[in-house]
Amino acid sequence: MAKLERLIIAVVCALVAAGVTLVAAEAQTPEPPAPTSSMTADKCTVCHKDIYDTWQNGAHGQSLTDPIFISSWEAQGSPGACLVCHATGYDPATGATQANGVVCTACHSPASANHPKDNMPIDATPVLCGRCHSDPRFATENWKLSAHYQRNMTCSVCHEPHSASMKSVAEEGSVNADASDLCANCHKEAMQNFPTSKHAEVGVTCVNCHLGFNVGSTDLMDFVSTHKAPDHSFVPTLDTCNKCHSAQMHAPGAAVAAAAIAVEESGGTPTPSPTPVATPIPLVSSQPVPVSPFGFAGLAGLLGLVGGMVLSPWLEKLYRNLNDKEGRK
Amino acid sequence: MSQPKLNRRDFLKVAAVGAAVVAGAQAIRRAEASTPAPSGGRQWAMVIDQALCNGCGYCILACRAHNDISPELTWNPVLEAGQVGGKEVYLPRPCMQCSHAPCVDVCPVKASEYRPDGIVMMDYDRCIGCRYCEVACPYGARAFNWKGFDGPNPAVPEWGQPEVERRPRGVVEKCAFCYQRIDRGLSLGLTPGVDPDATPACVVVCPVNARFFGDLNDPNSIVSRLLAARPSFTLRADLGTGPRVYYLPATEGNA
Repeated sequence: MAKLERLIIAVVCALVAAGVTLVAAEAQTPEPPAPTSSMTADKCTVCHKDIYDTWQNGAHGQSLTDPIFISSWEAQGSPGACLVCHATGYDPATGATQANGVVCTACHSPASANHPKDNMPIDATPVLCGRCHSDPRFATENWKLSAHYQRNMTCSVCHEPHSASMKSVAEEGSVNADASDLCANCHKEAMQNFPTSKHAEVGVTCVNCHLGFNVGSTDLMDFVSTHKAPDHSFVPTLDTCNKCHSAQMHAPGAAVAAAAIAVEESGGTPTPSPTPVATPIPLVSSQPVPVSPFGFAGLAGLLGLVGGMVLSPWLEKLYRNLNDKEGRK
Repeated sequence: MSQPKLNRRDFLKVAAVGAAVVAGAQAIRRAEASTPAPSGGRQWAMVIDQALCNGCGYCILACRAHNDISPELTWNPVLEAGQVGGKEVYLPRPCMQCSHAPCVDVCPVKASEYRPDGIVMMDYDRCIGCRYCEVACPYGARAFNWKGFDGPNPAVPEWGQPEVERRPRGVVEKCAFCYQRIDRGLSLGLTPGVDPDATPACVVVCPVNARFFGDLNDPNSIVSRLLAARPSFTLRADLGTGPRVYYLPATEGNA
């Protein structure tokens, strides 16, 4: 009997232990993220923390919290139209948004219910970026003129979409402190000559000439200018040269030399303010000075000379005919 | 105590048998080692257009991020290859995934092996770090991990997310055509070379689309069509390694 009792006790203990283990194990099984369309940045952060970190301080992460945006948005009476791009999933009918700011699902949508097994979708073409960055103020029209666009380069070749900043390819000891590193990375041939140029000597980099601001003003509190973007055709215009060289435009050699000296004296940076040119430029007006009668007479004389030489055989014949008729009379 | 005497004749017999066994084993081993990669099924290949490559090095950075490589190592460098028609020409050099790979032949522990799709795979758990493969590779495609790589990867997250385990110190590393992307993509029903999620990271990131990827056994894949339409070359074809990375040369006309 003792043996049977021992067996029963053992079986009961085993069942209890198994039950407790089962309950504990059930409790510890992680719940998969709810497969809904309301994937928010918080859920993505669980795995993609490094992307989240770069995103939240960038323009996309700050699109609705940026103080410049808030002040100019409120100044205009908080129009819902701004939220189409500044928030995610704005519904004009109800005025509700899915999330504040440009969150993950703004670009990675529709969210895959089976992520991470299935990939989150992404359209890595300028079409996706162009959904918001389409306005002429964002220089889209200029961008389509550029050789970059025509060679099927996408926005993300130069721009990091998560941090909404330029990509970084700078190696240690890089000479350029700005986006020009990115230019030099591909345009190696141009960079072989450029460092020895006068421009490079005075600290001018690629973007100073090839990315001029041609839209918007410099006042950041102006609503229009907050959407301003540099000219993405990357083609410098005459105005670009004029920014520094207005004093040298068609000026005599003395003025060029004076401007060059002024550049050197100002510590090696080009002087942005143009110095007035002393020599008077000949006036060109829409009402030209009338030509004198002697000019017209001279011109007519020349035409007559030419006409006479060309028509001389017939004229001679006519003259003889007339003479003969008179003779016969 | 009578000891069995080993006379001269017996000794020679034993020696001859022993020599035959050793020679036979050696012959079998060699035959095994020089077995080329299988050629049926899908055979992945890469085509690189030298006329388009401008040496920007995005492929190096994307490779480092997706394969979680130390910034001190490069699996996939872009070499300068002189000038054609006054224009710089570059030679991106991933692993050639040879059909007769010298690295597979010399590995004493079979850490390098052919996959059925032709990719030369490293088994980093098997590698003992003898570096024979590094010496044997005529392309210098192998990088030895002298130091363990700790800490954050500077190429992440800007250039991509790591997809494979970081290798320990003391193993030889190499490019494997981003096999993890190919395998995952195939399991999701994607086509490597067409769908970016199933294509090697260097091919996807290339801003000028100078790299192409696909199945050599599929006559409609981009690599098959390119190789049929344009002249191409492989590196050190004289060695008979049978590389699966083809180059479309830059010429005076297209550079």
